[in-house]
Amino acid sequence: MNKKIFLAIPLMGLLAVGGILTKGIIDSQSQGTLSFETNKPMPEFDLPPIPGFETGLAKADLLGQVSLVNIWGSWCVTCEYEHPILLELAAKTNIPLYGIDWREAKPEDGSRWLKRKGNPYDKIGADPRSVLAIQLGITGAPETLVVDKKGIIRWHHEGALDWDILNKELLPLVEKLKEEE
Amino acid sequence: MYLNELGHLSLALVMGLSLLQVFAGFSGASSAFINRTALAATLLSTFSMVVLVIAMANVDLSMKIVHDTSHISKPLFYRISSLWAGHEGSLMLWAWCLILCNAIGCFKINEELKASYTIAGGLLIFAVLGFVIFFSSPWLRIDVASLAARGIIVEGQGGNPLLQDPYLAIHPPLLYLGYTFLIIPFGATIAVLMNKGRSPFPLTIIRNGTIIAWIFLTLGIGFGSYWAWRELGWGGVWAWDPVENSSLMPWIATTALMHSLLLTGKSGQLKLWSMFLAITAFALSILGMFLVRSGIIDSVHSFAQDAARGVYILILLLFITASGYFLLITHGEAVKTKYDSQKKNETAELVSREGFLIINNWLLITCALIVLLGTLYPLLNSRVSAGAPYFNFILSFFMVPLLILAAAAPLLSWGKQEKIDKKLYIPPIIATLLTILVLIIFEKHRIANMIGTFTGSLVIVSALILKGPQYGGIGAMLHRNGIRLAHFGLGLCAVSIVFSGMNTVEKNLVFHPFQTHEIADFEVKLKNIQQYDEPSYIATRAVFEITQKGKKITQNTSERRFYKVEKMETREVAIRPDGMHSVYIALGQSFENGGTQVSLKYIPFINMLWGGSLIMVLGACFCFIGPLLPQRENKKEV
Repeated sequence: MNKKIFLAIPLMGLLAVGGILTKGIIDSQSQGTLSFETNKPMPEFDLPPIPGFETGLAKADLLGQVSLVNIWGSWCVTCEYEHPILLELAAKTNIPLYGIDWREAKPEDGSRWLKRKGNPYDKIGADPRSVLAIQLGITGAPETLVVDKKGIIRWHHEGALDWDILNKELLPLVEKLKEEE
Repeated sequence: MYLNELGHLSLALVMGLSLLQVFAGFSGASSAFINRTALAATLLSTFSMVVLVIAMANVDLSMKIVHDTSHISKPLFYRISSLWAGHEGSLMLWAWCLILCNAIGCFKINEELKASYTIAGGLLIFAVLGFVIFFSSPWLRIDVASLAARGIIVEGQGGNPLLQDPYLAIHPPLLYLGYTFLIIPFGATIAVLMNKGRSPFPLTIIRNGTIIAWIFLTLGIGFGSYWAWRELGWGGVWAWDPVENSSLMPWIATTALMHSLLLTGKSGQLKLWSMFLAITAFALSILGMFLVRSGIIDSVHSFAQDAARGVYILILLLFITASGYFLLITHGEAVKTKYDSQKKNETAELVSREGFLIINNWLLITCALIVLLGTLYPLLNSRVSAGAPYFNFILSFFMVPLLILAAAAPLLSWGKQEKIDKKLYIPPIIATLLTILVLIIFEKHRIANMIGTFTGSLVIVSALILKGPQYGGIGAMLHRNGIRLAHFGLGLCAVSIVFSGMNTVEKNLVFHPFQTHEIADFEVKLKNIQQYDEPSYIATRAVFEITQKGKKITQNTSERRFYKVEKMETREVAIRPDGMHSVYIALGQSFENGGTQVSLKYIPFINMLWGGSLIMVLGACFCFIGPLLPQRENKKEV
């Protein structure tokens, strides 16, 4: 009888591991989706430029066109993964791509990073103290928003973009939004 | 061309065939019929695989898998290896290896167990192919015309230039073969449990499958870490990354299984335990696939997150493992008793070879648990991640007794020790002398250095003085020397890990042309630095001269590449490859004033790790071949 209890230990261990993994899957799906609302207007903002750039980024820049807003930072490892894709996107399409350089420790870090890796953005605003990020409900970098002609956030993605998402979701949506008045 | 569709179809046929195998197993079909279905599944899935390889080689961009992972500018070898650079391709490769290994098991297993084995293997392959075909199909097409119409140039997404390295390209197939060969011990265990001990314990096939799996796992992990060392640019061999850990866990379990089988084969002990390990090792290999492919743990290796895929593999993992453990609970005792009636010796002396083997198993499985816990911990508490310090610190406590056991166990005899063999005194004496020598030579008297030297050399010396058997012919001789070689290699690895870890010197410096910096005993001089424009990348190439106390040793080139298609930077580091010392030079940023940031590292004894690993593999090969040769002494089989 004791042997059977002994033999049940692996089964219990398996249950524990299964529980942890299930939690992992659930967490990986629900991360931050609670805090972010789409279909709300972009808040009013006017961010200063990052060092080495003349202009910053304001809400007025987004109006009248369908644009992408990408939140990044030189400290963000995943942004490094995403960066080549943004460069490719900027080279291959003419969708305006705006950057929000978020939470830099030193203001020049972001510019240095872009100088090294190339700049895909049409305009960049600095948000070192998360003023805009908190209003938006940003939980981490990178995040990307699609903003329509009226300045309303229509789509939102957490984490790095890849071509799968771009081709399946983002690019078709941008095409559709361009048709809108 | 409908070749791709044919490949897709033939994989679907294999799925049907696997179901047929399950029915054949239940309905008591003839062994020849089962063999034929296994052969057909092998041929059809191989055809499928060949079709994919052809698509990769021809860069057929209408295939999504090619478009996502390859690029027209890639050389042929990397075009093909791009197949397993992405999710779909790797799973396809894994499934194909699984089918091959399952077929091998099917051919080799005892007639009495064949039906049960086929049921288990068939179900498993059915489930895996269901996943490949419905959730992760490598056969998806993309609409090239519509992409082109949108002004997107279709030449492939290129994939990751870090993946353009021969060691990286071959390590996944090796690792997958390691994972999938574990289906043989797993399937045979399930089969013998299903038969409730009515058939003999399939020791030979479990043993052979385990050793081959171990060989491939070791090679896969070894090549993977060699790639990390050469290419990733952080000058390390092991980062305790979740994906690395997920290959290490099955390796530890397989190592434990290999050792417990020695005892099971000798005296029939540890049978339940061996069966438990066979199930666990395979389960851990699927857990590895799950961790890598579900993307639930952040890692350099993981790909896009996809809940459906994660859930499917999780269910597969839980189902396989739970049914294995459940069978073990319900039928395990029956198998054990049946087998025990033919054997007498059941209790083990603590100080004996079997006693040490048992302790070794407990320690190993605890190590696997620690790695498992550390790997899964971030899922419980996302703010905490178990990093290298956690693993290094805790596991080092287990490494010391494990190494002492590895040194002592082969020198002990089976059963009660009649008298203490004088040979047992030799390794500790020599190891102590070596440790004192290290104390004198090295200035840094770190305790870990000394313990590492002592235990490592203990293993090495005891492997060297191990006497061959007096009986048993060439087979037993090979087996014995295999153990000796494997332990010798293990000792080299242990010394290498401890020494390289404790004595690494790292410096981040700015080099101007013709400037010299010192690291450890070496002087490194930047002789030349230039920009090059190659077809697929732009390179900054620097030539360094390494001298030791003014005497020129070698000249090396270190490179930083910017890949044009992928817009990604990689580093080709310079490593002085010969001898026991490595100087590792990785280029960083260049500044406008002509300076270049360089990361210099001096790492001693790291080459011994690769050498030691290969010696271990060679030893395992000997252990595999040995018992296959004719034995003069009594056969251990029952």
